[in-house]
Amino acid sequence: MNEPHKQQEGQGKEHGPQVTFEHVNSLAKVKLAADWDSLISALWEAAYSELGEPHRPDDRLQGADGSDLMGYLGLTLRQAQDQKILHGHHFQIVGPTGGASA
Amino acid sequence: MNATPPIQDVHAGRQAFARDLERYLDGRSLTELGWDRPDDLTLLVPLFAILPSGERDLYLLKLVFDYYPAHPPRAKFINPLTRDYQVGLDIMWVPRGEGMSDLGFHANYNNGGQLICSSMTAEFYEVQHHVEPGHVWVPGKHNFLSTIAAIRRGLVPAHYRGRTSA
Repeated sequence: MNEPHKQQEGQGKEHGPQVTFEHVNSLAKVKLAADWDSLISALWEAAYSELGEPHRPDDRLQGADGSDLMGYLGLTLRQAQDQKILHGHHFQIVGPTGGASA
Repeated sequence: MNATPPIQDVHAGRQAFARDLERYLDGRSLTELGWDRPDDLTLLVPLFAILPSGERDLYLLKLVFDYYPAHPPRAKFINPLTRDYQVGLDIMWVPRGEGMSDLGFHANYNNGGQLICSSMTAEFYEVQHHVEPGHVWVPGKHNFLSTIAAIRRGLVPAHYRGRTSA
C-alpha cells in the first residue's frame, strides 16, 4: 500500500492536492480539491461541471507540460504521481488540431 | 482540404490579443508566468522541452498577433539572445520532434524559413497545408493558448529529440 504523500504547497489540508484544470478554448480555469484516490477521469468530469462547459467527444486532456494524458484517465492521482506521469497538478483541456512533421 | 491564406488585420489583432491575454492572466502578471510582451502585437513564451532522459532544453516561442483572431498567431522559435531567427544561424533554437501526428517543427520548410506545422499557427495557412475540416482554426473557439498548448505537445519526452542541427 502506498504511503500517504507528504503535504506540499498547494495541497488541501486533509486529503490530497488542489488540482487546476484549464479549458484552453474558453481561457477559463477551475481549481478542485482532490483526493489522492480520485480517478483522473472523474476529476476531468468534475472540472467540466465546474467550468460549465460541455465535454466534447474530441476533447483531450494534457498536462501543463504538454504530455498526453488520454491513456492514463483510469489512474488515480496517486498512481499517476507514483508512475511519474504527472508533473504537477495542472491539467489542460484541449481540442483537436492538425499538422504534420513531414 | 487545403488551408486558405490568412489576411492581416493589425487593429483587430491588437484588440483581441489585449482582450484574450487579460482574460487568461486573470489578475496574474506576465512576470509571474515568465512571459514578455515587447509590444502590443507580440508575446514571448519560454518553453522547456524534456528529453527522454529527463534533461531539459529551453526554447523561446514568439507569437505575433497581426492575423488574430480571425486566424491564429504567427508562431516561431527564436534565438533568445538576439530575439530573432536567422535561417541557418539559429536552427539550434528550433526543437526537433518525432512521432507527432499533428505537429511538425521545421527549421527551414521548403527553403521558406521556419514553420511550426500546426493548424494553430498562421504560417500553416500561409503555406496552404492540407488540413482536416475539424482541425481548422475557428475564431471565438480557438485562441493563443490553443497555439501554445498545441506546440507544447511536441516538447514532451515522447516526441522531443533535442535541438535541430545542420
